[in-house]
Amino acid sequence: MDEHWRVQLEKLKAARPPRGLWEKIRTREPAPVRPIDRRNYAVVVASAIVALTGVAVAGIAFLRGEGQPVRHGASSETDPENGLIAYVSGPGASRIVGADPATGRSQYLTTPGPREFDSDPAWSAVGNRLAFVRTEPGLENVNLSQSLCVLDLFDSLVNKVPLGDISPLAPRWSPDGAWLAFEGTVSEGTGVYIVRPDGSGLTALPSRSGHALHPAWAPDSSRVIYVDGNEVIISNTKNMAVEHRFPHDEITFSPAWSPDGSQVAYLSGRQIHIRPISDSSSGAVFDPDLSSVAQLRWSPDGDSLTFSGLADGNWNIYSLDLSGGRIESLTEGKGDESFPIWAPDGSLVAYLESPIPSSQGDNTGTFDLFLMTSSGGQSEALTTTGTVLGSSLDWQPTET
Amino acid sequence: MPVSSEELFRGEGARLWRFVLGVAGGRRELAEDALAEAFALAIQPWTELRDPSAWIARTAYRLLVRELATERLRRPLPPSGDGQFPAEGLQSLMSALMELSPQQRAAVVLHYEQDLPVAEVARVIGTTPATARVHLYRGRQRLRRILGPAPAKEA
Repeated sequence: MDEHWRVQLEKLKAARPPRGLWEKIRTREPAPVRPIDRRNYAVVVASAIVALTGVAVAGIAFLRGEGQPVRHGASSETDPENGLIAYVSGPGASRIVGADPATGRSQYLTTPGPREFDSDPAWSAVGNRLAFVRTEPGLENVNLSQSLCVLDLFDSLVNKVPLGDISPLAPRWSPDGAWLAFEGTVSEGTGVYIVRPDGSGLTALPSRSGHALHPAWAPDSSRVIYVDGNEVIISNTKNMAVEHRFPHDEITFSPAWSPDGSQVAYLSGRQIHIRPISDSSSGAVFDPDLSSVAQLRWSPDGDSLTFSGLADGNWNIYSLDLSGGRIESLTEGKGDESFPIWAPDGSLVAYLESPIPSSQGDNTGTFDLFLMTSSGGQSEALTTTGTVLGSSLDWQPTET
Repeated sequence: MPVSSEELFRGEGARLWRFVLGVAGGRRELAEDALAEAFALAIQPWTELRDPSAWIARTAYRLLVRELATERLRRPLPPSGDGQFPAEGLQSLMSALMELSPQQRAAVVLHYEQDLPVAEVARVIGTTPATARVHLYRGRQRLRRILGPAPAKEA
């Protein structure tokens, strides 16, 4: 079965050259070549040398763990008990980097080989292991080789989880640390799987559509919520029984459990749905006045949800207060702010910022990492070089 | 090998047009200008080109990348596919393509829509085959995620 994106791409074949294009080509004179101004050329060369020297010095400092990010605002409120924020650094060879919100320093967490790149970091519940996906360019074709890997911080060893022919993405640890759930792609489609870190117990969770995504574990590690087509499903991982189905007509994504496990939240179309799972009531639906919503996250205290929302061409971070149903913007940047994640203690929210809104040109997929207080004030940059690749962020819990 | 630019346009024009339109994310004027300029630049060294079609694709791609970067700084670009392709049903594809980087767009269109091998994709976008594979991989992943599964057919 052809995937939907390939079917869509085939539609490009219907695009015919517009009438008059050949006439435009035939009569076109090439743009004149501008002669090099030797004085400007010297300035450019000198500037390049200065810039390269700066980059080299910054790179050495980074390798020594001496990064000096811009710091203001929230630094005095940063709780040193929160662990590292794992993100994917790029855009060249990508690796997992950990940013310390207390000091602003970053350190490499993974060291991929020259033909490998790492993505999709996920911390275990006590923060002692990091799951991620390592991708290696194939030699003969574009079907890249992907592995689910686990880095143990105790001995810094990386172990690959044997998965056979399944290509993994988006791993998530069960809160008890015994299992990983992930999106797995095989030739027949994409499904949600669970597996123990040693590769045993590999099992596909029930799916009717053959396109299951976005797994998230219940706090007691007994169930996984995920999206199957446009249905949200909660499956019991002990007996593989489907316990709940929430069908929708619109594209549905970003499911999340409340911290106490009594409710789930997810996005469908432009609406936020909240469902209790202990009774049959339909729950609550919130309809923010936004063009699009994404990346729903429940606060650690369970009192609010954060998400990214698009309005007037800009993405910003929003908060939904569950006690009063009030929705407010936490960021007001000129660029795009998205991918919010909560600090484990609930005091801070990290997010990514792209300096140019996606509505104003190319989204190159690179961002900077920012922190703000949970009420939305006092933001600060943890990186300033635009080298954070989008969508993969996770905040390390600390053992208590 | 085509002996004139007109012959090349008749034989390869449609394919080159789909490529520049995809890289431009559906912005028709940018695509037209880049392709016209690439043809114009090719006329003088025509006899020296081993593969004029590949040369024009490569040149148009570079012109487009430069133009997109300049436009981005100068003024907001119009939304991609803003009602320009109603008959062809391309709006959602063009919007999705604009979520990719220019390299990813070029790699995906050349490889998946035009069936070019990875080595040739790498030559057009001016990179190594290994890096081209990464652009393909990331572009494919993003398209898959943005476009999602096929909508259920009505009974």
